[in-house]
Amino acid sequence: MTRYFRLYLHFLRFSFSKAMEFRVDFFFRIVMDCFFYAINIAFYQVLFLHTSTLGGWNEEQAMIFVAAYILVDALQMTIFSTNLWWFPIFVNRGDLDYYLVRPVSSLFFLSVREFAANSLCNVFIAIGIMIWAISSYSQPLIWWKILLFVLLVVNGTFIYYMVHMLFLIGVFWTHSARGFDSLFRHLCLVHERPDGIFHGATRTVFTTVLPFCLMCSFPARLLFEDFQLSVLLHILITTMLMFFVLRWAWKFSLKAYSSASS
Amino acid sequence: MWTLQVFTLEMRKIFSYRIDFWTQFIAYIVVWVGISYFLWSSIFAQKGIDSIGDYSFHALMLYYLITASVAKIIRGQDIGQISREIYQGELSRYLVYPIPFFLYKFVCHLAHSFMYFIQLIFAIVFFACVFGLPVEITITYDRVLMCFLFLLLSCYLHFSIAAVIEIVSFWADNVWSLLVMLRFISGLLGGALLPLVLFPEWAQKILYTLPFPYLISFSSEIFLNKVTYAQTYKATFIVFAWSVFFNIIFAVVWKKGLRQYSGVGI
Repeated sequence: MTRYFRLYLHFLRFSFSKAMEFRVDFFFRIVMDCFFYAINIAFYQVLFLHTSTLGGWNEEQAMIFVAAYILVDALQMTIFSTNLWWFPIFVNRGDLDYYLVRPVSSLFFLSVREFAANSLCNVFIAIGIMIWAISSYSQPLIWWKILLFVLLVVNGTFIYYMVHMLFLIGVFWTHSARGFDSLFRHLCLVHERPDGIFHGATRTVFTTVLPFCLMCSFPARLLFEDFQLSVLLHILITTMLMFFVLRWAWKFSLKAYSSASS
Repeated sequence: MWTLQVFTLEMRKIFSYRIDFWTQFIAYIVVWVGISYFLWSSIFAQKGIDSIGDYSFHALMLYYLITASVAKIIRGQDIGQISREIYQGELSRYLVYPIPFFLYKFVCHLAHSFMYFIQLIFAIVFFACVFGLPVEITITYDRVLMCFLFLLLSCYLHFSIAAVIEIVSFWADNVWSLLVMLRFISGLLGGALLPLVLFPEWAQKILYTLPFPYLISFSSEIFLNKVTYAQTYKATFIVFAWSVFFNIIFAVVWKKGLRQYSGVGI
């Protein structure tokens, strides 16, 4: 474990020095994400001009939910996004060999090697939005529920990564992850909507097989509503199952890797 | 006619990846309209209303279907085509072509837009066959023609804005983020996320002087009988004025940029 931690610190150091080489890009990316945040907040504010509740939540609650998915977005952009963008290219070019011969988990190495230092600034902005949304909430919130909410939002980032990776893993067979990646990006819109608006089979799918609603909606539900152990267990069990499925899928897919360059 | 040759060549390129092209489109439309369906059905049910901002639920779904397709049509090719050529030095070959670079790239862009336009027609026909057209909508030839012509203008305006951003790459090391910003802004202010009629009145007044509503929502509004002929003529003038503005900026930046261009790989 210590070895992995030390390795990650090295990744951080390299990423920061690399990011500083491209200063204009560094600045543009921060501004881009700020636009994304502003547009999402504006979207919900316009929506609430025409309704008092959405999926069972009022405007204040919806703003905390928005802050949650903004934080998930900022975290995944910082930790995983760049790595997952490169992953299909590595598979197709045969560059995955480099990761497979290292004496650490190839999945770990591949998933976190590139840390997006510029997006780290956006994590702080996202935390600021979260603090603003929580402090604007007119009802009293219990401290341990806030803590649990934040931890579950971080867990939501991990679920986001796992679902994205499972969508991309098909590249070992299809040699083009474009279609899958594009489908994932469209589906991501689901985690930006309250789970209360979905019903029937669609809701079942988005809370189990494609657990987008577990990334931010369920944690927000635990924050506003009476504590339900079943909701917490649902999130934790699904996360664990996704983790095992991903590990199994990774090992299975490596068997199909032909190493184009070798 | 070189424009037609470039257009057909680009079409052939698109057709070589047709499965990817259609699956991406279907996934995009199904997910986008599907999520809008759940969002708005929840609001309509909660408020117990039949229409919102002059849109019935049925018309609102058709609006989302059209705007989702229009967003694809105006964006045409993937973002970052011109900037990539500048970074990789591929721009050099266009400089020796006996045709204007801007026009050449616009024709390539139009080929992609045309494919998405065909998809839009399929999508509307599918919607009409399965769900029927909303009762308040009557399709007339002149409306369809007007919608088509306005779409062409929207394509040109979007291309002009995007081209100006792309050629910032003569100086900046990455403009991808700026293009994504344009996508975000046109999504909200262009009416892809929400019909613009739902914005506060003061905001609508400002919005309709900006180029964004004319990129995405206005064509849909023409099709859905939400705008008068007079409003359409006014919109045409505004689009024309913005296009001229961005073309002038492009010409100035392009001239300065070429002096900066090092032609990597020559």
